[in-house]
Amino acid sequence: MAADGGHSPLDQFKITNMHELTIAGYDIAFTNSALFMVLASLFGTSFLLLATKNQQLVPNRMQVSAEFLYNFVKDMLVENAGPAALKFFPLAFSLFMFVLLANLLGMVPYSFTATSHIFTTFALAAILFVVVVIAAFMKHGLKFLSIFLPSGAPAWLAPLLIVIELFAYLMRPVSLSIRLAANMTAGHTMLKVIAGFILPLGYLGGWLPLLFLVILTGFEIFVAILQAYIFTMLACVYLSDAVELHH
Amino acid sequence: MTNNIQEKLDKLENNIDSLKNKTKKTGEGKNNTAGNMRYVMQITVDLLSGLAVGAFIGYEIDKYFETKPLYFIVFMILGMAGGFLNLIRNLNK
Repeated sequence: MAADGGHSPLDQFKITNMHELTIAGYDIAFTNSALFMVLASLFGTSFLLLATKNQQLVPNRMQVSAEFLYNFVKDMLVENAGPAALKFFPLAFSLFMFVLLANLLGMVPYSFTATSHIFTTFALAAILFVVVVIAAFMKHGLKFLSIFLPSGAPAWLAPLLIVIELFAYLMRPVSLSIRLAANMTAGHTMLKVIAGFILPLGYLGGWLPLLFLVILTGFEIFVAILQAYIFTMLACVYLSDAVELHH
Repeated sequence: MTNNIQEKLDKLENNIDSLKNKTKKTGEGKNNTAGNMRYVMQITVDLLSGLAVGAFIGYEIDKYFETKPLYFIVFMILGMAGGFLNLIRNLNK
């Protein structure tokens, strides 16, 4: 069916221009991916602004949920990077809210999952990487480079070890972004594939994939929240480098 | 009367113990499956991203110095080594 112009399970990841715009030879059109990123930021900002508008000693439901999110990220940051890392809290909280809302908005029917593209997630991870490297250099100076030399290694192995350690360090933002994008892509593709079984199996057999689909949709919502949690937790682990040196 | 209560309490304790053991066992089994899935994802992502970083840097250097396959291959192997290093660290955590 897909060959003669039907729906492919991968059609949902297609990026379409909503508005053509070219500045100085660069194509910076407003795409559906950008729309859902803007929506995720708007949702997060307006939710938090609304929730904290009338702060009360006995909080209402909105305020409780906002405070829960705040404490959740704060505990995660303190646990993984220590209390000195709290100056990076705005970054960690923004990352968490953005990834969480982009993932959850992707679960709305007919919507687009912005975090299913490696470019989106890699941009987030690259921001984090640049912040960590700059902050670590500002705090430790050139001593920061000592994390690339494992202590107790023989001197003649040092050149090789430094290169390997450098690669292991450079791949952290890549693995962070691939993990999120691969999870979102795999989950959404699986949903579409299973949904494709329903109509061909007809009234008799179609109920089984439909049941699976309902269960998997719930599971995907769980994965969306879990991946936002994992992304932020690893971000906190990497931020701990900016606070203290590890060997 | 006291004897009777003591007997009942002993019986209850035994019951609780056996139930606890049961849930412990099934819980462990569940954790193992979930834990294994986590490792699968971890291994895939770590090995792949190490390769990708090495290959990308090698490819760019090759393009710059026009030494076509040399640095691509060397850096891909080094990136793989970095991937294994990260993998070992993550799994030992």
